[in-house]
Amino acid sequence: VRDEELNEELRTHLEMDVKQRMARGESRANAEAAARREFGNLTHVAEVTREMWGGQWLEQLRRDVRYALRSLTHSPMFTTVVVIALALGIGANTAIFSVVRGVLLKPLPHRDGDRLVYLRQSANGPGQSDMTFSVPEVRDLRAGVPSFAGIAEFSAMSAVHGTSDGPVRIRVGLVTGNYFEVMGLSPVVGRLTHPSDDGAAAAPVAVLGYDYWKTRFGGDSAVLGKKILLNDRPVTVIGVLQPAPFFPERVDALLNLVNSAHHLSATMQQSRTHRMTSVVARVKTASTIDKARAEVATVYSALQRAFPEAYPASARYQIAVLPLKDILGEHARLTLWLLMASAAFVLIVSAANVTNLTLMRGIRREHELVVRTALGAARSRLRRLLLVENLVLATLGGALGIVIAIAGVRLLTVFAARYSPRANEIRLARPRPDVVFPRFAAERGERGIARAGRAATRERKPATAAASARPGRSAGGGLGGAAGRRRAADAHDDPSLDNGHWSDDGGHAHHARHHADGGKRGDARFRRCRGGGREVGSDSHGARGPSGRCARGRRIVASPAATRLLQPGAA
Amino acid sequence: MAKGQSRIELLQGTLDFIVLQTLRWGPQHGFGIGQQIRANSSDALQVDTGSLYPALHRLERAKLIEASWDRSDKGQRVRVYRLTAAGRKRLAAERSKWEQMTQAIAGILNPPPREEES
Repeated sequence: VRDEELNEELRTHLEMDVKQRMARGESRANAEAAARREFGNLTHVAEVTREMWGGQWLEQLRRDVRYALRSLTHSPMFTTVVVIALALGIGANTAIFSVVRGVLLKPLPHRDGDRLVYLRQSANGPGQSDMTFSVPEVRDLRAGVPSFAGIAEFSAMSAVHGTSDGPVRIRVGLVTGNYFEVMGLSPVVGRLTHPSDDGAAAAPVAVLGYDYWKTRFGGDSAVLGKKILLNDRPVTVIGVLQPAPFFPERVDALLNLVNSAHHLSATMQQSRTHRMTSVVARVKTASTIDKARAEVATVYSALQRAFPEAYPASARYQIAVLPLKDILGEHARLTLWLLMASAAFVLIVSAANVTNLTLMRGIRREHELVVRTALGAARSRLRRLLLVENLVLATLGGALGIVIAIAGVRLLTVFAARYSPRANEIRLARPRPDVVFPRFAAERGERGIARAGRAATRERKPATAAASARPGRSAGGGLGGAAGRRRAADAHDDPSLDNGHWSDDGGHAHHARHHADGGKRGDARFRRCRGGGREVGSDSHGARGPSGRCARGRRIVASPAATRLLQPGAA
Repeated sequence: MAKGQSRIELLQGTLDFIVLQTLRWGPQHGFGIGQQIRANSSDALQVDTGSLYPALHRLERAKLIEASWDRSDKGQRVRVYRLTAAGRKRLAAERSKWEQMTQAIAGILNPPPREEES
């Protein structure tokens, strides 16, 4: 409505001018021509006036987006290829980055997880790369390393869980009472074991793993305090552990040591070479991992001297203190970084492809851009149009990329579970938008802007170089004949060009008529304008004609080839 | 581009002032305002439509002038602009600012004070 009002206002202005001139005795034709010349480009005036209304950018953006969508549907092949290329690049990267983040980068869910270290005893020989520890060794370490706030012991075994559906074989971990305290884990419901649950006199208790609780007990907290049958012995369920990476292997429940007769036996307790306990230690806040490492080394060499029969020199026994986080990602690290690198490569390739396609499309659209320039579209306006178009493309690509990423993450999680106990932590990298969103935005935005920028620089060249190289083509080459020709006609201040914007499709029969002589007239005017002029000129009366237009004319003149371009279409 | 922008900035304040001053003589439509500016300045100032209409709509948005559809004396439907109270106030302020300015410049140029432009 407001547009119509503005158009009416401007048209009235013209009519009044014509009438005034006719009253002065000019012929109707002369008066109309003079009035129009003085008025300048009606579309342009309407446009700059509309810009004063405020809130226009939203309106214009909507129009630009709509126009971009329409122009993209006109080249479906281009759009499809670009969107798919972007989607694959973005999707693959997002998915793999999500996995890398979940498995390698994210902090451990354990309280102060970076203070947890894994002790690895190894020796030369098959199967000796991680031979774990015997109970006497753990005892000596516990006594000799003041930097450790605690050492948790863990050993896994199989058990048969007698359920109402019949017996089920599960993996369980036997842990010391301090295990959860050292690991820094909390229960979801119930309680975890304490040092009071150690020893032969304690009652057998079980802490269920989160996943097992969900799948076997349906996440029902009524299971607390119930007795379950493990290896035909009743064990009381005291709690459910928070979701956490299992280490060193996946288990369904964690039991106190009294559940295994073997763990209380003399062999287990006394033999220095009966190694079957994995050890995770927590480094005191007051100490450092390096200090702990030095202390461990001291204790260990003392042990080697004291018990040479337990550490044959030929096998080169050694001990390592490794951050738990590194250990958890150990097997996945190389694979994942390789995947990440190849995904980055895919992104580079797709970006290069998209850039090429966009540039090629830009060349094909030169004519369209030239015509727009001739119609008085400011360079900033064209730039914005191209930018919006590229952003629309990038957004489509990004959206499809996210869909691909979701599917990819599912697939990769299964894959990663074989390499890392942390696979259950993988999520599409989203929970911290501050980290991930800038990545998305930067990735998409930058590419969009870069491409629009390149296309915009192209827009300057075609007017002189490429367009003149193909003078025989119709002005609307890039747009399809009829529309292009109409726009070409509009370029010459056709009085009936009153329907808002050049992208609108209101057919005007008499455009063709104006078109025929339009070329030359336009040409002459452009040349006249090239001299430049002042907007509110203090020129003498005679020079006033071009003065108003030339502010705009300068823009038009910037592409003298535009006029050349328009003429062949008339022929 | 940069050159063009700085020119518009320079002119914008002045043009707004001139338009307000013109409307002081009573409600007027866009074409009439342009004609009047031209006549009153003895053809020295010509306002380009591409500057006039944006200025009118800008002033309207700033509520310094208001517009309504009306009939011209020839019976044509026209959009007529008139000053609002805020517009009058602004005009007075601009006017004293402008007078100070011209006096100052006149003082710099030394010759006797020129007649103010309106």
